[in-house]
Amino acid sequence: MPAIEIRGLTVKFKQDGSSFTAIDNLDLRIGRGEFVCIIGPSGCGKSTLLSVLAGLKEASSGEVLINGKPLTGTGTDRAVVFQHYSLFPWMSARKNVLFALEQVRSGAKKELAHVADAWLKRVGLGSFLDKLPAELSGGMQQRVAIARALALDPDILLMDEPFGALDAKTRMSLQEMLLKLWVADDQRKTIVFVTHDIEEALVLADRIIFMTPKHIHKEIAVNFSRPRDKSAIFADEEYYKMRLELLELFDYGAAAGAYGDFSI
Amino acid sequence: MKKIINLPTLLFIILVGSILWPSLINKSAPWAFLTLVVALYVIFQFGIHRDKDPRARIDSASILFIVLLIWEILATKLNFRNQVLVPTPEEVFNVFIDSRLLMWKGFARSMSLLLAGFSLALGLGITGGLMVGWNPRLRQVFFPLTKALSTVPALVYIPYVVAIMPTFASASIFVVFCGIFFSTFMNQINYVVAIDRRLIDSAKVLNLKTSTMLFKVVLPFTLPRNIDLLAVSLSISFMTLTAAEMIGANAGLGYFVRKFCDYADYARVIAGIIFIGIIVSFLNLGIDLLRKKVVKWHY
Repeated sequence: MPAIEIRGLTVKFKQDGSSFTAIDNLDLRIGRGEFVCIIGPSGCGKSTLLSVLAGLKEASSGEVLINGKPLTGTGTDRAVVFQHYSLFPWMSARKNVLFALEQVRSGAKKELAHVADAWLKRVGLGSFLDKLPAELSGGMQQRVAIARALALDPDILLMDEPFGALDAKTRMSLQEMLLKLWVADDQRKTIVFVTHDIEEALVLADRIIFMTPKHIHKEIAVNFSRPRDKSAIFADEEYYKMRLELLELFDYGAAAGAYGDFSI
Repeated sequence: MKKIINLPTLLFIILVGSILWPSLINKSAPWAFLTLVVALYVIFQFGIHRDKDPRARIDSASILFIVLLIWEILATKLNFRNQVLVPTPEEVFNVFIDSRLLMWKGFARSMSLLLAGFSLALGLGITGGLMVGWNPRLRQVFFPLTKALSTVPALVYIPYVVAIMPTFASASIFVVFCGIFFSTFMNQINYVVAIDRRLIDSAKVLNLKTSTMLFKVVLPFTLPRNIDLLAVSLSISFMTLTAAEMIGANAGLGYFVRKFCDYADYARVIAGIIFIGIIVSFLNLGIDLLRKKVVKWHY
């Protein structure tokens, strides 16, 4: 049974009487423990797809099954990391993680605080437990968000351009951290990761799903061995082939006007 | 070398000299006024805001001392005044000693009414606005309704409310409540509506119960803005309360001022006004401290 199964998903937005189709009759299966990157130009519906999986947006028609069960709103089987405003600005790093834990787990506050602290240490924030988000850098904030999501121990981790606002160096170190944490888990989580960064997708994913507006245009399997070694990947010819292919997909779509107003 | 004699010090010396100088007219005991002047000087010279721009301190101290000096000289030295309408500063500040019992009783009475109306309005306004702002259906009904109701200034209700309520206390609590409830309620609705959707999404995916969402996420988010509003609400509620007390009370600070106005005892009137000013300033100071304590975070 796949972790996520999507059949004929259509999502429409209604605004001022007119309706806009963001996703049209989309099918997708994601296996248990698979790391899938969804990539595509702005406005292709990749973030909308993630919102549906998170339970934040409703499907207009079609079916979404999570572990074989129809999706109904948000759920403890999924955790989400957003690009912005992931954390509550009035709570310290520890309190942010603890607050999330308290919603899904029973247990003494002290115990849960230990879990929270342990996760923050694992993402390298052991000495920033009591800092407010505003006192942390953007990269550190995303570390807290990842620690929070993983502390909840969901089956599925949904990530919506989590590193999109970070500088290149921070992004790379966070990618490495995410992979390390993911591989360390004996029951690997299913990860759906939305990005617009080709290199990021190639380094992280088992499979890349390229979306053009409303549809999945192409799926590309990424077969680099795990645990991933960046220098080995960058030395691999396969990497450049796939990179070129994805670049052409971005380019071709723009040239063909497939992205509507989004092409420049 | 640091300048020792600055302008406030010079003015202070002249002012003290003038207070102690034998007066033309029969002057009341100068000690209360003198104590105040010395206290002000000590505060300005050695007290608050040492870290801020010293010029601001010196300038405001100078202005204050000049005003007091003009008042002192015109009233007691030149006797250039209406004997009934303009009391001397000595007379005014002696009131703080002679009538201290009455003033503190008025203070206690006014504060209890203020606190009751204020906390009632804030509590209901903030939690009510939280729920109405969160629920679109409630919002569509209550927002326009409140908007219409809030157009009438609370001061207008006072005579009628004082007439129909069983006690003056309940009447003034009601008036204070009306004075700030509507603005608190409507602002809270607007704050709730204006929350960044991304923050709400982050909270939603944590599977919060509605009550947790409202009181642990939305409420804390609106708290800093509510504290910003607090200073304005406070002066409005003090205004409505003292106005109500001037119309129908038998105690309280507003009553103190109005009663002695009726007796043409203007020293007490002015003392009462200054007393109210000092109280409001201290309350505002408290709000500033609260803000620093609560609002450590900001976007």
